[in-house]
Amino acid sequence: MKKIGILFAAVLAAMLASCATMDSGTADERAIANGVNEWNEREPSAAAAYWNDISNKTTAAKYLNYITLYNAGVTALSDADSIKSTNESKLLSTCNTAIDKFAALDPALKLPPDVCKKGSDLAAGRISPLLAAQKMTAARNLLAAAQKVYGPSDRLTEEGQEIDLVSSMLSKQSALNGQAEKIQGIDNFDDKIAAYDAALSAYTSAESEITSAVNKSSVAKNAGVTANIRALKKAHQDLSIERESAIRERAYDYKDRIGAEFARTPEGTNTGTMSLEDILSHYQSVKTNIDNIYTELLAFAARYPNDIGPDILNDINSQKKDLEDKIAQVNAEIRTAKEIASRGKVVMPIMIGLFNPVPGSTAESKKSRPAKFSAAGAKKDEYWWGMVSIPKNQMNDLVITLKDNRTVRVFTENTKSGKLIKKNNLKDLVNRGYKVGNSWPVLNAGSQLTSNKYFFEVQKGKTENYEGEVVVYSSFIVRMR
Amino acid sequence: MNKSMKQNRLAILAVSVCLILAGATAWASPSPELVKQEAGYYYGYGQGTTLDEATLEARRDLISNALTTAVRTTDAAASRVSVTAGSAQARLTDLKPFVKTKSGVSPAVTVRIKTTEWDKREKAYSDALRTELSTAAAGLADKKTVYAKIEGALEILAKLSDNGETELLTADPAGSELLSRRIESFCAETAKSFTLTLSVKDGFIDPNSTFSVKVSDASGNAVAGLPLSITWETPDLPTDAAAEAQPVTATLKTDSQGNAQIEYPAAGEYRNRPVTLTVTTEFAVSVPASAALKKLDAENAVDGRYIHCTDLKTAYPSVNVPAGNFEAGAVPQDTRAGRKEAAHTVTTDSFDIDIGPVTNARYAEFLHATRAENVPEYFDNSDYNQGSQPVVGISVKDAEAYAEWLSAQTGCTYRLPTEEEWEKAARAGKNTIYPWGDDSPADGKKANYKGNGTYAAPSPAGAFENGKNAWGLADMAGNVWEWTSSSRSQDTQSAYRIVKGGSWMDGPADLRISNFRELDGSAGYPDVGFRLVKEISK
Repeated sequence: MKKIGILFAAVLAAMLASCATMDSGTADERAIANGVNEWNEREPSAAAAYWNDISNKTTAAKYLNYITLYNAGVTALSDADSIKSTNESKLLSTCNTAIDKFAALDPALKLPPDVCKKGSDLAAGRISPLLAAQKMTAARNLLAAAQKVYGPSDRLTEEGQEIDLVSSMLSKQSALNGQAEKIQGIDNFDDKIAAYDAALSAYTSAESEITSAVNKSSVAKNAGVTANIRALKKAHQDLSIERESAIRERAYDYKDRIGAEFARTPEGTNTGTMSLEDILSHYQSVKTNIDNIYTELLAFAARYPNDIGPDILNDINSQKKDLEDKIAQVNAEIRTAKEIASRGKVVMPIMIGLFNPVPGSTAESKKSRPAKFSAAGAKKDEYWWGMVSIPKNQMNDLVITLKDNRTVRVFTENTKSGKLIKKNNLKDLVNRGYKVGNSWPVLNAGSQLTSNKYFFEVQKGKTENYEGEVVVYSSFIVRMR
Repeated sequence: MNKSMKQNRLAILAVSVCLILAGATAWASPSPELVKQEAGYYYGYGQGTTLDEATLEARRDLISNALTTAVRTTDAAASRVSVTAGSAQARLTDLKPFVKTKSGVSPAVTVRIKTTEWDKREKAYSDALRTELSTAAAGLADKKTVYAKIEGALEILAKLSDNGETELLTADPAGSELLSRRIESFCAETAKSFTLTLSVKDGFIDPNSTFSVKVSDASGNAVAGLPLSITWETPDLPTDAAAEAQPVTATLKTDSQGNAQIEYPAAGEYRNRPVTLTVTTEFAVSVPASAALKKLDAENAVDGRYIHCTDLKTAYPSVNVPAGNFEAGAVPQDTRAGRKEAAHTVTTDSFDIDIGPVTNARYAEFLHATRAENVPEYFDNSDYNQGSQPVVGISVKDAEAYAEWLSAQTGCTYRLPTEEEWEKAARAGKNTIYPWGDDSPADGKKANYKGNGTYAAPSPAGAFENGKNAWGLADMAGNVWEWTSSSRSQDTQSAYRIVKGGSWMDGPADLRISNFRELDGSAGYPDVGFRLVKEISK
């Protein structure tokens, strides 16, 4: 019996010794290590058999939860397969779920290569859309998280290049935006346009550099790159249009001011009763203003020859020419009016010269049609003018006959009421040697008169009243004789 | 029994108790999912509604694990190999559960096999499979029809896939070429000469249009029984369609004549907009994992670029301009008109003119149907590429190409208006400075000009209801200048053309009907678009 007791005690001691060598800490560590080994060498689910043996409930739960996390990550990756490629937000959310689950695993636990590939492909696919939306931080964080969880892969490396490229593009874009924003604060027009030109030139250079960099990369067609190239192009276009718009606005301002000046009417004046001088004054003030604006416009056009087309200048020039024509017309009218006024009184009818009576003729067309003139209350010399048409090669004589014996002098040009006779030493055309009675002849008048007008002076006589007539004879001398 | 015997019995009993106690703690059988896997074995785990079902799933899992291990010896990141239940049923039929759940619990089983045993069995299985499939492959050339050959090839590929052998089974026992690659090459060689032809050419379609595709081989023979994938979708181009259209897909088979009828999508989103029909072969459906078959499907494809249009008149509304004389140039009350706008009498024939300028949506249809690659300069700029905005950045040549295309599509003659035709249409029979009258548009309610207070870019065509003229023509003043075919240059070769109407970049006085600019027609501008006239057949 004693032997039995010894034997039982020995077996019990052996069992206790066995239990002693498998103390709880060591056994759990071994279970953990075995599970990790199974996870890494076979498959994650194989670890459950070992981690289930961990005696520490908290530690066991923690490790068994890794399998739950892993399965949740794998499920997320699988779910991504059924999400439409256009539903980017859901794809990104699923991608982040997978990364979050896998990132929570113990670092000693490796993900199977196929899971890494699927996960890194999913993550890589999300980076481009983030870059397209210019969410650089999110893209960088996703890349870092994906590389940490799934390890390096060709696609993630490519996305890293895309991030660098887009980052460089955005950096350039940011600098260009800053340059463009400063333009808004420039008041001087030329300075503003110069700033636009500098910014546009910078855009062109930046685009060229970016195109070169993009062509050298393997990510030229990635959404992040193409979207940012589009954004850069849009910014470039917008700035170019802004510049064009500024110039167009200035050009329009010039045209508008010129147009408004052309359309301006004298304020508060009844234009129907305006004198020629007032009209001229108005037009000249318009012209002065337009000339000033046009000078500005020409300088503007010289600076921006590509922006002020010939059509704009031609249009303004044609309007300007219209104005100059109007001014010339008014000036001519004023000159005519002044000149007519200065001639003195007009002989009526002024068509005297059209008739050339033949002495003795009874034909109606050849009867004398004298231009008659008369005056009353004449207290000093008076001046008259008339029109006549006498061909130079005809021996026609112009004869002025008065009813009294006052003196008559005839001139080829306007004497300005006698003022220019002495001043310009105007020659009296009367051939006094052929004077007959009160008739004052200008022989061979066609050759002596320099225009179709003749001007004559009727000197003060004994009375204040006088009258006379002007006649053209084919030969006054012969007739008189 | 003597004392000594009694003592021995007690000792044996004590040891037995100890052993039972120890065994109960140390060697108790775990549940199937918690089996600790030993090296040198492949394991599989399965669950099912019955024990047999769970066992089959466990075998299927084991086969997949073993095949995946084999595949990953050459490609560590290879996807997990899967096999069909049928394949699992044909393999390892004698494999018994290594551990199974106790009765009364949902059946779950773990099976295992020594790797050496698996290798031996797999070799026998794959050899038999190679023999079977090689025989089938050898008979492909004798098939009577092209599609019978491809069908046979696809069956071989499907069987390889079902058995998880696509990336494992070599064509020859000692060779390295995979049987799947050889069969895929056969498919590519056989199908490379397929021609898919759509019954409807690119361009306008209406609700009565019917579609079909014909498939023929290199000899022109119909390919019957060929599975085809049909996809209707809408292009990513500016549109004025309100709703987004989801792609519509279908699978068809060619009939004995090689034809397959195609239904137009019934969804309302597919009305009155550009659509793309893509037809491809559907070889990859049989073996989804085959990149070669996917490539082959991509190569055996045809697409149609259509514009669905229920009513052309609605899509391209116009008004008639009667024949006769009219006074072109500045009207007497226009104090802003320059000498270049001198009034003059002009005679025109009768013609129709578009209600509004050609929009991005309309121009996109042209680009879509003609597969044009040179899109307008501002088509990527969101400020200028909305469907209802007038298209800008268009040269005269571009506009004429559009008119030529539209003419060919409709059988009518569309072209750019002359300067006088444009002006006559803008006046709508009245002698006013602007299309709506003599009032300046400066109130911001009649036209889109610089400083209008609402738009800083082209506005949607027809956005200013108050700016329409008496004939209902919109945007004849402001929004965008419009190309005409006229030139005032003495040089007949000059690229300069007259533009009319003023734009969102110009001040209100530039919107006068008689005003015009001369621009280089070979260039595009952000504020120059166009509208067309349609000649009236005599």
